[in-house]
Amino acid sequence: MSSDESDDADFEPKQNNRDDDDDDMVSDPESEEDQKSEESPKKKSKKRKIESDDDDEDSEEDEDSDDDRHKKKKKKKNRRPRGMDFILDDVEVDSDDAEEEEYESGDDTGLEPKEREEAEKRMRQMEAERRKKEEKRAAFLNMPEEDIEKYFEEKYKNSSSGGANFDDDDALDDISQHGLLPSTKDPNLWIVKCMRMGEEKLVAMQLMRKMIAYENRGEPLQIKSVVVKEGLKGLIYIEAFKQSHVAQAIDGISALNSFTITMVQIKEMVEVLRVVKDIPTLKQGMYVRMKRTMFKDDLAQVDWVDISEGKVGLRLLPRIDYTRMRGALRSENDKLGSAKKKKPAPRPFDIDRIKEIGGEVTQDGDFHIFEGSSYRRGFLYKAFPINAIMAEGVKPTLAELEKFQETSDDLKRELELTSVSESAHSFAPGDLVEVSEGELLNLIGKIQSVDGDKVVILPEHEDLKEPLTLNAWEIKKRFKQGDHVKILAGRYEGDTGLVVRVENNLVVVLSDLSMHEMKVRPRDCQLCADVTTGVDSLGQFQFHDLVMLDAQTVGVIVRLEKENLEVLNQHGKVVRVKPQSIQAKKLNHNVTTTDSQQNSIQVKDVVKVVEGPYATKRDREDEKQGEILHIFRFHVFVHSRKHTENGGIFVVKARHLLLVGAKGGDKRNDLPQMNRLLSSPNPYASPRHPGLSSPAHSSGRTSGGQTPSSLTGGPGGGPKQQHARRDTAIIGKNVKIIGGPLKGHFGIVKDATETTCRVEMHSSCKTMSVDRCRVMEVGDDSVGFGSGGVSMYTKTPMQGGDSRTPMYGGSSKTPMYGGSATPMYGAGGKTPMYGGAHTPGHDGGRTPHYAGNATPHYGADGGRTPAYGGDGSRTPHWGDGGASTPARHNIKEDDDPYDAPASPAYNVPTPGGMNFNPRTPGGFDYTAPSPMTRNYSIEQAIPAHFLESGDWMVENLVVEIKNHDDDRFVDSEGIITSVDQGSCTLFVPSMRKQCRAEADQVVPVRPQQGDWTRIIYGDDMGVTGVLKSEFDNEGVLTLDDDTQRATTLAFLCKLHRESR
Amino acid sequence: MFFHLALDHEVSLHPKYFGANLNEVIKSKLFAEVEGTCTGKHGFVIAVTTIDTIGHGIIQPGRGFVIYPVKYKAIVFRPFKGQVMDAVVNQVNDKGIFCDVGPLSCFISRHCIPPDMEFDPNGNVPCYKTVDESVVIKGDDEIRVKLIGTRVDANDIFSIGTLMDDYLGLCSVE
Repeated sequence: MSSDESDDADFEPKQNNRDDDDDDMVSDPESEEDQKSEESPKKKSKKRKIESDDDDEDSEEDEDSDDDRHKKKKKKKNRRPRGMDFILDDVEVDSDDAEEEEYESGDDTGLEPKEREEAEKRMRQMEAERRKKEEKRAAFLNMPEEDIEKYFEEKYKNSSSGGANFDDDDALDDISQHGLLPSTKDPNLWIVKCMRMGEEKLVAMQLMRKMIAYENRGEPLQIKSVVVKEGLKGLIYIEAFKQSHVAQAIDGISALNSFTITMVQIKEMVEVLRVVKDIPTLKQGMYVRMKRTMFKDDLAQVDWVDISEGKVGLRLLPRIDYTRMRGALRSENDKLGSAKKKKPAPRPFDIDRIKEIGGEVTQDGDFHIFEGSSYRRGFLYKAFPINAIMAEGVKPTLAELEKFQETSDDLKRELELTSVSESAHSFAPGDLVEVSEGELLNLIGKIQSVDGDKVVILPEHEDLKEPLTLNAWEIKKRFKQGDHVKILAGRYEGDTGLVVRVENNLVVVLSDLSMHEMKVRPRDCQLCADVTTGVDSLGQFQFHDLVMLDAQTVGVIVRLEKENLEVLNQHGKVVRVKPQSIQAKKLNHNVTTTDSQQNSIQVKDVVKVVEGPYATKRDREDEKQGEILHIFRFHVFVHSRKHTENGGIFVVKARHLLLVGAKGGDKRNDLPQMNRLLSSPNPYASPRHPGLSSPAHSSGRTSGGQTPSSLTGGPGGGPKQQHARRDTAIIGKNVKIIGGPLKGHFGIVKDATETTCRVEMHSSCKTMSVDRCRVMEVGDDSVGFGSGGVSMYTKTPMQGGDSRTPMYGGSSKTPMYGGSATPMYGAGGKTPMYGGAHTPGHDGGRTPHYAGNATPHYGADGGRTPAYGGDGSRTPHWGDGGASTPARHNIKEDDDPYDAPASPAYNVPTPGGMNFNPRTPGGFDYTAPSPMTRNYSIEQAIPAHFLESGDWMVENLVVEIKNHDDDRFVDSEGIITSVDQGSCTLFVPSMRKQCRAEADQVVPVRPQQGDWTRIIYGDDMGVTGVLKSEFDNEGVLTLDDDTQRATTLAFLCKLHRESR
Repeated sequence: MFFHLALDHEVSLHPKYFGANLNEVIKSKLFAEVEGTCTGKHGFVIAVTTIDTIGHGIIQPGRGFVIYPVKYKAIVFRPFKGQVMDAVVNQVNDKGIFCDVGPLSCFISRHCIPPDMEFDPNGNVPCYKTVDESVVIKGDDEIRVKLIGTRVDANDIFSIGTLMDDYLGLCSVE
């Protein structure tokens, strides 16, 4: 490589070479030349002659042109005797991008005579022919400057107008190429470490100056050239015959380490300077950006490309200075063209204005020619060297593209078709691709591997079985309808979807997540082998989260993009926000509001839209129905699969909704009711307690809610807890408002919680929310329900155990307790009624009392429901099943879960057969202001509702049939053979028949002494044993393990003997 | 496509069901748990035809539940790309047509509806129709659709279909 010369008598390469040289000069003094080199050669030469007349020229350059010329001269002199030019030519053939700098030591002078002679001699021998040519060139170099200029002018006269007349012999054949390879007789290449990273070019400059200085002193350096390779940090190459020459040359240059001079192997020398040129893949129509000239950073469109020439024709917006007068109108000022540095703004070529300023425009076909440049339709068409443009990673802005289009349709098309050469491609093994250019056009293949820009594909072609290696830019991704893809870039980055349509340079993808259609470019897509659901979280935010946009506005995230969230705000608008701008995520699990019928609705309720913009407009149209995602004040975010926008989410006012399955809904069937029971806060539901239904829980101590799911999946689990509990005790009562603005009004309580109640005024047809403390029941002297909070927040320990004591904090309540428990009550001065067959004293219609061991408790206890031992999900105080409470029914009617026949768990049959008479408690009237005496004679009993639920029933229990469709069975004893959700199959031994009975048709049979027995209620539920003795109401069981267990007789049920 | 497959399932049973008709309980529980479900691998289980074996139950430590391995045969419905099926139109909107093929929901994008059919939002019922109204696709209509893609989730299958092929579209009314 080194001193070999590629010689062609022509000077074209040389010119290039010099340009290149100039370009590659990095130091400041040379920068003007850099600029100059971008100008077309013609201009360059012209410029030299007429310095001030060229308005395209940077004035800077004008100023410097003298200096320039001086330098050029110097350069030419320097260049004269050496062969190094031809290295550059060589490189030029391979590549034109190498950053190379060459400085020549005077070839003919200063070398050690012997060495010099020897070298020269050999060279001459080897390359006699090229020598000759070099001499020819040298002769040219000795020409007077004017002649050179003339020559160049002649030579490049035509080339700038686009007509390329480069000589064809610049493509050297292989043989001459080989001849250029370095041999042992050529100087070696030495690697010198540069200690200061990044200063390689400066060091090269230093060396050049040193060389010049030494040459002038008559003791020139003996190195041949210095090469700095772009991108190679910390190393420079010096070409010289001997290491000592190198050491001598770098002596005194502190950045270079003279101890680490290593030689490059001859066979590696070519590699060192091989520049793997990534020829920009320029295509007609693509957009590029200018790197230099006055158009620096301007967007340009490729008109034509000539790679071999290294030229590209561009279409771009001209920057013509319309303020400067031309031709005859030109003044002296303009001629000087002094410090006018300002870049004229880019605007379309305006022939009228050109004429106004005296410019001469000639016509050539449909081109206007003005000052040597061609214009058409306002655009400048001009040839530039390829290295003056930047082709990779150009992303034109919309505004820029707009300027390039003649109509908006063009723009649209352009946007879709714009091919931008990306610096990075996104091909991955497995992608299906199509060859988009070259001989293999339209060949389809699958990518096997990717290595940088080289992509190995396995073609899908019957004749092509071998993998092919292609360039990344030659292929494009191919998708078919139905492909599942992931989007890699752009707004929709990260989303996945199914390809619905494939167009040229566009695929339409149906997002998995939101059912949106997204238009994306194929290159932004990737086949997605694993099916993901797309982006559903971005940082802390997830799809469908409720977020605060500002103090007043909230919204639901309907789409997550790479950096943006799309949020549907409470006003129904979709806004795009940055995650950072969101104030907070809102958690509102427990918010409730009321629908159009005053039903309480909350998150997860199924509602339908009955009014407002989303309501059904036409009869045939399906009603908008969906699940509540979030509630914010009276705005409800509903998710409906039928809704096509915003991923199925829309926002409605609460009063435009109707709870499905609620009053007034026409879809009143069991299912919605069940749904409602399960999903909405059931004001009657209690926390779950040890389920009787499960023998596994015989200890009665398992945590609530763990009831094993029943076979048919009935309403096994109610809500575990609820916060805003409705207080039904007061509902339906006549109250007087004793405080606040409405003081003195009378009304009926429609709904109530612990703190507020909704009172329908007698006077005006309005329903108001009133603080509980401000209402007083009519006919009741006590102030305020909830006793001003006295009992409201008092915790009542609820124990299902038969020997537990309910505790009351309420001052004016009278606890009742049965059997063996001692009630405690906090003050209040009331007398607790004694267990057993006593009548509890009632106080103002408060507190129903059970003889049982549980404490009903209203309104008390901040939202907790007192629970019965063992009773799963039942509410205490409605225990006496059939005995309906007027208040409750007034309010809830059909919604009352207890009345819902579909819900066996809540439909409580009447137990019988015990001392407990289920009909009796019906006399209980909770609404009655006056106390009623409860009048039944058992001390302890299983609550009727529990009996009716049938949860106690297990196989082999002996029961008595209280009533039955078939009269024959009535009053006979049966053995339960199977149980199925509130009903059971019985074997009646006396008749030897089987029958079915509902839970409310049977009652447990009390065991006699010595009977095999099961405890069916209370803490010990599920325990079986033999009843050893009974005393009063207590019985003693001997369990299997011979332990004894005392229990209430009423809680026992006889077991069939065989089951033992 | 329908398949008759031999499948496995594990039925977890509460101890309360241990008794004479344990087998019945297991069967009914199997039916309840399996029929109507969808697995990505096999598709929608339409119906259990036979129960081959009910294995020995294994008590789960600490819970008391018993797991019975059950081998059964079932008819499954597995949609495939390229399959042509009859579907019932469920919903029509400007984005396309949603239709149901039994348990499978299928979306036909506007792009996959022949371009001569236009969405008509103004009619009595939203529909897609040709200009001369010779073909009108509205809700509850039966259409023949070709699946062009399926998305198989863990417990659901979603498909997109096309009407852009011969003999696709509205099924002629008998």
